[in-house]
Amino acid sequence: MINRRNFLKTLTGTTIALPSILNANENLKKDIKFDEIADVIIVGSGVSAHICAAYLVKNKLDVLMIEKMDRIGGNSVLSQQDFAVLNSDLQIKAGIKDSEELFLNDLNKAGAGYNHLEHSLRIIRNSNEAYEFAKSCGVKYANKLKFLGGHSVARSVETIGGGGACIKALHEFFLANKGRFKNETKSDEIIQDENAKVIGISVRENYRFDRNLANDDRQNLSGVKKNYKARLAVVFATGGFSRDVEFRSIVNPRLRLAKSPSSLGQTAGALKQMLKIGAIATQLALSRFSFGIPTEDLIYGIMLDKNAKRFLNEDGDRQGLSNKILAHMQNLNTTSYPTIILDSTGFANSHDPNRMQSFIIAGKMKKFDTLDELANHFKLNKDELLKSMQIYEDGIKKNKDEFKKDLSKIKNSSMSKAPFYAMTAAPGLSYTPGGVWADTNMRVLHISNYEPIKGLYAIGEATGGVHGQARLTSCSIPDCMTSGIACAKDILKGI
Amino acid sequence: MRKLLMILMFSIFALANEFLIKPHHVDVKLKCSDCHKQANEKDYKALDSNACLSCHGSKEKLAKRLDFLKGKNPHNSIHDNANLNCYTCHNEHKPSFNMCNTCHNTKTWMKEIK
Repeated sequence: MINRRNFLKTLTGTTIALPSILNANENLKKDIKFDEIADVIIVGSGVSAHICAAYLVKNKLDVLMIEKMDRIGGNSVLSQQDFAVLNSDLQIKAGIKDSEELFLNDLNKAGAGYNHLEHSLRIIRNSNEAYEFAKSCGVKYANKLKFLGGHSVARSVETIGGGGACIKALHEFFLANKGRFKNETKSDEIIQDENAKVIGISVRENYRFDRNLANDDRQNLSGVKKNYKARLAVVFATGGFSRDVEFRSIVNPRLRLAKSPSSLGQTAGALKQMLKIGAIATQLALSRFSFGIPTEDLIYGIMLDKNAKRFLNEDGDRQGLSNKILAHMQNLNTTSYPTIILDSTGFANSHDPNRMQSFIIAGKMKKFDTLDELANHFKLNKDELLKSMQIYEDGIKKNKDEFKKDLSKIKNSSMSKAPFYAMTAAPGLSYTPGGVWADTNMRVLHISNYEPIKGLYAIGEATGGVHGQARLTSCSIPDCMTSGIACAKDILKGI
Repeated sequence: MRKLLMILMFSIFALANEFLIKPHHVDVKLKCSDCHKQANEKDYKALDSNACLSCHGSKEKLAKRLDFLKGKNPHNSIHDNANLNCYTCHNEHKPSFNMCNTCHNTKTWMKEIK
């Protein structure tokens, strides 16, 4: 806990002269009755929120974490939580030579120049500290190292039980250390004092998210209004906006067509609250897709649009393929996703046959004995389907594919041997790389002067400019965890 | 006056219709007042999970009964453990909602949700 004298000391620092327009801000209220007070208020309950909270309560601060949903853990509980760590105990034990340069090179390659280097380095340099801290809070990691796509060496550790187990462990640690938690409590507005310092939030308790509303943030009136005061800081660990079709279609019209596999609460409401008080919107048009089927297996089959025609080289990563699919759908002015078709030879070539079988059991992929059944099921024109398959087969014979697919890689897959396997190719927007701009201490900067908005932090997926064009796999967790700890340290430093 | 009566009649009828009780609860003769404790009907509020658990027992008990589903146990899943409120999926006055179904095909392991 912080005593009054220390708290006052934090207030006597110099304040920045602010443009007068800010003083007209309706959030600058003098006489607010507060219903609740804590040293730090954390908005959101995913992995960023929990790591930050765990670090703060371990240092004896009074932390209140709020979550608008009934569910604890946001999108984190849906994720596998592979975790790229530089020089982890497992990497050292395996004798793998890794370095900041190698890791940075991998991040830069994926980020394609859109990733801010200082944040890439923040992730790299603090990844092992974050991993060790998570372990000290009870998160368990498997005794093996994963060599994942886009990484030049094996450096990813695996969370036992995935995000659900991780959040469970951190939540128990948080509560055991006197952390306070309220779910179904939604932040509506950031409250600032007359010097524009963030001093709290106005919330609604007993909030009931309504998935049937087109825009829950705007239309949902449930709950009881309360004001919460934060003695030191408000931390927005509010995740992305991949479920907010309305908002994501504004920042990038192509995203309207994507599916949303994220948890239901991933809306832009929290982002808008930060923008409203002067945060900087950063790279909101970027997207990261998931695909529902390992994209490395697509090379063994073909992808057909709603007119039963091929339109791309099926050999690609999920990011590239997803963008091409959505662009093609835009050109055709359709909302129908294309269809992936493998014949028996292509299906047999898949790198993880058990996983493919599980797709069939789950009903995601379907098996057809005849092409008539397949065409009927996916509403494809039979003649066009046969034509497209024939052109592909002819191309294989001539070793010249019309979409320049490297046919030496298809392991003799054909398109003529029944049974056939097919599924819908629906790019899912699983992560939004854009968000607000924060420095490496995770202080949210103001658009007028790029100085920190006092008392406001943003961590994890809520920030923008960190990963760049494509987030490398297993690099969300090191971002969430290192940003959570950096934020906690900066808050503690200010006491 | 007659018009007013008609409107009044209609609105009472509409209210009763809007808050139908599910068949399995009708079978055990549940009335509105068994769950809603307010004296006056117009003060009825949305309930929390405790109202359900007062008959159905604890969350742990409900989770145990579906233990055979292992990680796919909706009352103790790998994502949410036993953290969810009943009403995240179960509704009394409107169709229930299978949240697992938003990502998974639950047909292979789950019955229709009541």
